[in-house]
Amino acid sequence: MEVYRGIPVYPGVVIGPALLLDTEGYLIPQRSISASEVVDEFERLKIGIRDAAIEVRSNQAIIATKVGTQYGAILGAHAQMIEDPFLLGEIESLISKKFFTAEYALSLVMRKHIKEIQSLPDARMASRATDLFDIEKQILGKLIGQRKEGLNSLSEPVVILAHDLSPSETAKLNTKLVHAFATEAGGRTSHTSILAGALEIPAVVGLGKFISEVTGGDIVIVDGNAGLLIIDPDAETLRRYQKTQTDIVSLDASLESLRDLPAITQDGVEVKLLGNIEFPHETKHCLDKGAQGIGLYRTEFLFMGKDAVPTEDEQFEAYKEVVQAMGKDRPVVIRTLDLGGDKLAAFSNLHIPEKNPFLGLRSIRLCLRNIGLFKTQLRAILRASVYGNIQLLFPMISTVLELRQAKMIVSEVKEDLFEEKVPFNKDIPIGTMIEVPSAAILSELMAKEVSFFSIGTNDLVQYTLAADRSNEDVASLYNPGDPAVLRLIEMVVKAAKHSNVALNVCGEMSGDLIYTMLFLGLGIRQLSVSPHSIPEIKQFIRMVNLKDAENVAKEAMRQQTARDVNNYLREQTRKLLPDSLMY
Amino acid sequence: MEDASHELLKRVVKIKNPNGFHMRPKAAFVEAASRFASEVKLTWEGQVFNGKSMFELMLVAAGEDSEVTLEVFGSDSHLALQELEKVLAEEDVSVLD
Repeated sequence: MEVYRGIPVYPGVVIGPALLLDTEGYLIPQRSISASEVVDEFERLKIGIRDAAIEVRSNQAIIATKVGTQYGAILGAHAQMIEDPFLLGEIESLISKKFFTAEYALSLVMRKHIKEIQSLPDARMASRATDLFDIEKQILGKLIGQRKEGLNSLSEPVVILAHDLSPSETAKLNTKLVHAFATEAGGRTSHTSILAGALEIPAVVGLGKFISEVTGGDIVIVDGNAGLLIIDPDAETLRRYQKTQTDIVSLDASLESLRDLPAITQDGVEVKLLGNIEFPHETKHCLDKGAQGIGLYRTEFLFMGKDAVPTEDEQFEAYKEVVQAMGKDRPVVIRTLDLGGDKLAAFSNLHIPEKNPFLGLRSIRLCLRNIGLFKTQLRAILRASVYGNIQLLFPMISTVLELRQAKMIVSEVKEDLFEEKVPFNKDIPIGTMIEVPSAAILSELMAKEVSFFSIGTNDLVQYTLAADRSNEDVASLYNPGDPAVLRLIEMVVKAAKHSNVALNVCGEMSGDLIYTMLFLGLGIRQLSVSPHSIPEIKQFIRMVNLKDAENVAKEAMRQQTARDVNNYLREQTRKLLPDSLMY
Repeated sequence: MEDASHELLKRVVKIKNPNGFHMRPKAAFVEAASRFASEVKLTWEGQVFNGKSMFELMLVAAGEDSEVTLEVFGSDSHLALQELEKVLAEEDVSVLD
């Protein structure tokens, strides 16, 4: 039994067989087979080798005609190596003696040859190791292709283990069969983690190296409450976790009784709790958890994992589905496309690789450069606005001018729709995210342009502290409790109050109970969080006295380091919630 | 191609290729060697390599003017020696490898 500690990103406990993904998102096949499978494995290997050789020879012919025979000859040499009977013999002997799979035996044999070649004294000969890597890839591709082991063809429930998952891979996971995931890389606010919340499956990230210690099919436990991955648990641990699974079911039931009660403090101050969503189907989950609306609909997930930009009608249908599910009055805040950074869409024509993507052409900047794309989305949102209380939110605004440009395009789209006699809500509220320090500093001016603010804590923390939230080496700098972040938030709260614009806080910080009293004390009355955190936050708010929260906020604002802030807030939170599962 | 000699034949061959015994000459050698029934071995720097295995020959880093020993044994060894010596001594001036 091996236990790894990471960062919990979605609660719950899952026990199941492991399925490993390599760095490129391919399944890492199992390492061993049973004795009865040896003959079949031989056959698979032979077919894989034959198909790889056929492919290489056909490439050889193409290259020979295109650029010359001598170039094609290199591939001819590759084909010879692939068909080398001695290679086949070596691999077969590992399969029959050690019961390894063809894939694993192949990579062991190739590893050995590559090492030998790399140790040659002649540098040019030694560099031929790259040819061997190529050959290995060719055969492996055929072997894996035979198995059709794609994420799309799972047939039994599994736990996905990987170094990292890209947001588009995560979005494609079939949650009927993928019951949990755990990754070596990643932090609490990486987009993969956010997506885990959307998929509603227990997940732990940032576990450090563990992939080499586990084999596909091993039984593992993902503990999304404590942030643990347990490989090959012993009987006692297994029993304990089976009990935890039943406990969680009863805790959920007790929180469910809160669903229809307001989030109101002991002294009668009401807080609005809204849900963050990525996909239309999550609205149901939000309502189940008692959300009073959608505080943040991250529309970029409509664009991810797709080959083409979704059409106006496809977008319109998605937005309409959300707003109709929420009913006439509950607000649905639709944030326009926030693509870029690590959320790369498949349509590369929109995105040229950048040296510094988080400071580059992303989000609203990308939209203002691709007016057609932006207008299509705005048309879809405006068309859907007749079905309920839709509000429009711009992400990553960093200057007043940028905000004005975005608003101007909304006006243009409204004019077009008006001329086309297409109905829309002409008074649709427009808001801006405050997630770049410049926007927070200028919030007094930004307030004159919009009817609401939404503080995006994830990016605000990242940009204030200049720390990439998905880079483990600097992740410790990325801390929502940092006094610099708190001061910016306080500044925005004051500007919002002074100019009478509504204020919402979204991002992971708003769902973290240790900051709830601070937010209340600073004067924040609306939070938008992952739907699964709503019941807990509501339960907590119902225990708090606003007067106490104000004192807590004052004291927190006096602290000088993130660590002091967090320790103080954690201690204050614990006083009210001594038995919480969260700590 | 049967010559029924069954003799172990040995010959030292000098590599004339300016790029040494590189990938393409090796491929040509393996292809030729595989056409014969005889065992084919190459000795270079005291190590013996199977002449029908591209993988083994990958480890032969024989440069221009270096010498390898060609050894053939089997029913068609005479023919094989003749043919393989030719392939080995071939001058391939292409810079590609």
